[in-house]
Amino acid sequence: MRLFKRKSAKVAKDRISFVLDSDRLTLSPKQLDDLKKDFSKMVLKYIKISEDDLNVSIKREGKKTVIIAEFFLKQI
Amino acid sequence: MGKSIVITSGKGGVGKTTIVGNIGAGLASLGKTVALIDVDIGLRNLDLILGLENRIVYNLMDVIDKTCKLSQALVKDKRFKDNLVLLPAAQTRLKEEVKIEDLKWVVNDLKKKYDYVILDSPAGIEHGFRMSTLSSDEAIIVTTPEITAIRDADRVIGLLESMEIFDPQLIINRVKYDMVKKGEMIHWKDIEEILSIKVIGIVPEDPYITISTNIGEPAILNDSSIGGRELRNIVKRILGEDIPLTIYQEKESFINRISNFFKREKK
Repeated sequence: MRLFKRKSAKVAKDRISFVLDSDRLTLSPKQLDDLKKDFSKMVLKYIKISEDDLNVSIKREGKKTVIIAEFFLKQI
Repeated sequence: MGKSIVITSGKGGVGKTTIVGNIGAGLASLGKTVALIDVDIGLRNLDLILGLENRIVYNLMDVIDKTCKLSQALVKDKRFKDNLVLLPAAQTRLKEEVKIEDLKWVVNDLKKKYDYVILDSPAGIEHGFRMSTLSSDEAIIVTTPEITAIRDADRVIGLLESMEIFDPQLIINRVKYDMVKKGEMIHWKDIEEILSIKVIGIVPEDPYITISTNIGEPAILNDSSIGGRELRNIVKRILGEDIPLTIYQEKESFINRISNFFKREKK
């Protein structure tokens, strides 16, 4: 099983990123999860892509904290 | 007029005091005049790191209480031709007994005579942390690659901003390069990205640090200490030299080291 286990540094990065988002926004982990889900839903309402192709994240850029939706637009 | 820098971390045990002692010794050995203040009142340790514990007569509290003059309380480090002085913390008093204004006055007075005044902040985010921060022009945050320390560092960055100390810099301490390589320790680039602040040093885990504390001689003075080597680079970066960040690669075998040494010599 060890072969398929994720490296602990990656697990650490994901966990610390999540708690810091929650700390910085003063939202509980549940609220943060809901925010991300609702934000995704809103984007998906207008942009026709699969949910798997959308990545919602919270980042600190200098003094500002921003919520970012990343996705590839289909070429028309 | 000198510059005051607070070294802080949020979490305890990440190596703040060791780093303060080493940066102080490093700056002094390069000819700068340096005053170190141990603000960890009640839990003083900077005197031990520097090996000056037997020479303390007065402390920060005596200066504030006007029991002695500021100059009388400064313990001079003879190894650096008195370029380095320590203002020790009181061991039997409480942090809460010091008013922010008192510490500010002491720091400002020292800034007139010394190029650098470095404050060793206590762990935590309470009064001791607040007064050391509010008395400083700049801040350096110390963390380790553990998520507990990283989280506390993030909290401190936020608090520093609210106290109008902008652009703190980060030292990542006790990095085990072989674990980073195996993916079992968070990479310094990830820490920099997560905290979005400038990294000014990555200090490798080094057993010599324990020895240096045992004997009261900062590791920065030992040329063969791998931690000391990176601490020297940090000191140069503080002085404004542009030295790229490096991660010390551990586990270089003795044979390799010798062969590399000769290769270098040939060049």
